[in-house]
Amino acid sequence: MSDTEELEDIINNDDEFDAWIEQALNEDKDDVEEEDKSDEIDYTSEEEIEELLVKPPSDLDIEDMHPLQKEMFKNIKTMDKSSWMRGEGIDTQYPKLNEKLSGIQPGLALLGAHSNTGKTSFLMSIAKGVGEVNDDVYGLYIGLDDPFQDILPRIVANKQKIPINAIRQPASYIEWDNLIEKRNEGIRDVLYNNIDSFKVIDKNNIKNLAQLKEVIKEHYNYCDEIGKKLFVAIDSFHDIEIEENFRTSDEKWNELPKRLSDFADNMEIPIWCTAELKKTDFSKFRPDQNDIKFASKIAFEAKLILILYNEVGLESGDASIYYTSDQFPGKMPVLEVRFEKNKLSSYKGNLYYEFIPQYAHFEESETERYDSLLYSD
Amino acid sequence: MSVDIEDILICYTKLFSNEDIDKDLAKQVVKYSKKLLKRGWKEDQITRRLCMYHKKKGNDVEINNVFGNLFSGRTPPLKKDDNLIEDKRYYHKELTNTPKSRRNINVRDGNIEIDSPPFYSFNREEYTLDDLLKYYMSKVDDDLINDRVKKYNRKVLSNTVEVRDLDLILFTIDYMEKLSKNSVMDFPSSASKLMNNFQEGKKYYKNVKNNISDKLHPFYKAYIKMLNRNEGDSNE
Repeated sequence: MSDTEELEDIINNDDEFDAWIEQALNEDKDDVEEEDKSDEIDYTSEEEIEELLVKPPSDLDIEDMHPLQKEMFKNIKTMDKSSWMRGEGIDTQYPKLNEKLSGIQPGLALLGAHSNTGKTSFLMSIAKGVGEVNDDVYGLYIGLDDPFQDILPRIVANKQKIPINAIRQPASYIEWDNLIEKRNEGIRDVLYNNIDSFKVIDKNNIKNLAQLKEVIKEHYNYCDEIGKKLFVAIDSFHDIEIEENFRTSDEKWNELPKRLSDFADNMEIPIWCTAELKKTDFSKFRPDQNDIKFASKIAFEAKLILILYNEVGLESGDASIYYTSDQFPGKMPVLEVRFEKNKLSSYKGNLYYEFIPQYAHFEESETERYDSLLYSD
Repeated sequence: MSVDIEDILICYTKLFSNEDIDKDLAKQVVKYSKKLLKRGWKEDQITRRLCMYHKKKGNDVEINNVFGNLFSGRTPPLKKDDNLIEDKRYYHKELTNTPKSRRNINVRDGNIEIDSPPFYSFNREEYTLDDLLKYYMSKVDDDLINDRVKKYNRKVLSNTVEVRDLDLILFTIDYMEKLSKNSVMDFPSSASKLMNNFQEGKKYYKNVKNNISDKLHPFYKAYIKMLNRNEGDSNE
């Protein structure tokens, strides 16, 4: 029977026709949200995890095992337990990013982008957000590029949605009572009140990789004391120095990613770094992981590579990926986040964030819309 | 089940039957749809025209008038001799249509307000050699344009479309424009220079294709969402 004959048959049958019409006309109505069962399990509780572990087969008697077998037995159990303890990964505050990453996982991740893209603001937003939306996470933001006096106002602006300058230079806004009120409220609520979940360190405290590792270890131990997981954000990877001298810069860029990646793996913490890109080949529509400066070893070591692109920031009036605002003239930037390498989940593709640079704020947006607008008029 | 006919029937029902269609009318819609599809019309071309008709005449119409006025004696776009468009997905901005209005975002009293207009994307129905020539000439320095150059380029492009994919030609033009914007070369007034750049143009085209979504978003669904939004606004 052909497709059309099938449709005609449905039309001729009263019940089938009514059911078809109802289903066809309602196909675009929002799907009912599935019940979220994830909150029911506490993945940090040893007791609850114990319940979830696979029971070894009854005929496997550990007492009778050869020591070499016992070693493997122990490894299987450790793997089973540590994978449950990983839980759902750290909530980034962005639902689609969480879904595509399966939450933030331990390991080295790179966010590569050209300058003037918004990569620093994006990483900052995630570092602040993880401490806010996860009760058991502490976000450590290490800014090797900017002093903390420049970093903190952007964080307050992002949360309060007020201009960065109103925080950095309040004297110029003294006549705007509500802005000053929001600024002060932000410094109190966003910064002071979150002192146990978020911290910013700038380049004055860290001169090289050894010092960087020391600082991270110190915070790791502190997190252990207060029962929190540590998330580390570094801006930028290419500003990290190594204490010893190398004969060539290639040697340095071969060594640095390996050392940082091993460190993240051994400590079992996520370390997310921004990374700079070299000038992209003209035949490329968008940069990829090979465009990261000194890419070969870096791309190999990182578990996750996100390439960020902001067409408005880079191509201004010619951009096709943008949004509008009644408050700001011209095309407003959309940050494209492309999953270039992803060893943490199977997702490859783009996510999009509408970026309000004046407030260093990002709104996670509709993927399908912007996927289709790439290269539109 | 035929997805094309089903979409046309849903579109017709939502636009003209207040979502309450009787079986006889449904049969008539299916009959017209079958005929039109057989004649070479595409589902999205039919549903788009139904939307335009609804916009012009409202929903109090008679089915024979709708289909008669829209399609009687008209040639389906893909059957027109001078149309370079084929029945396939195109990626170049010259060959696709998306709405001009974008999401509008404002911050009021510390709250984000988002207005998200319904979205659609579809292939352009018609694109002729003259359109292609116009696109090429729009990249050429004004001082170098004259009738002789235009005539010559028309001939070159006419030969090129015989052997190269339309998308590829347009992406190669853009690649050459990119080189000229980055001061690598001047954009050539002669379209014959396209030949030297197809290899790199192909890489550029592939790169775009890897990034861009394959999925198209039917216009009629966006139009119906827009109607519902407007209805919601007027009820407020």
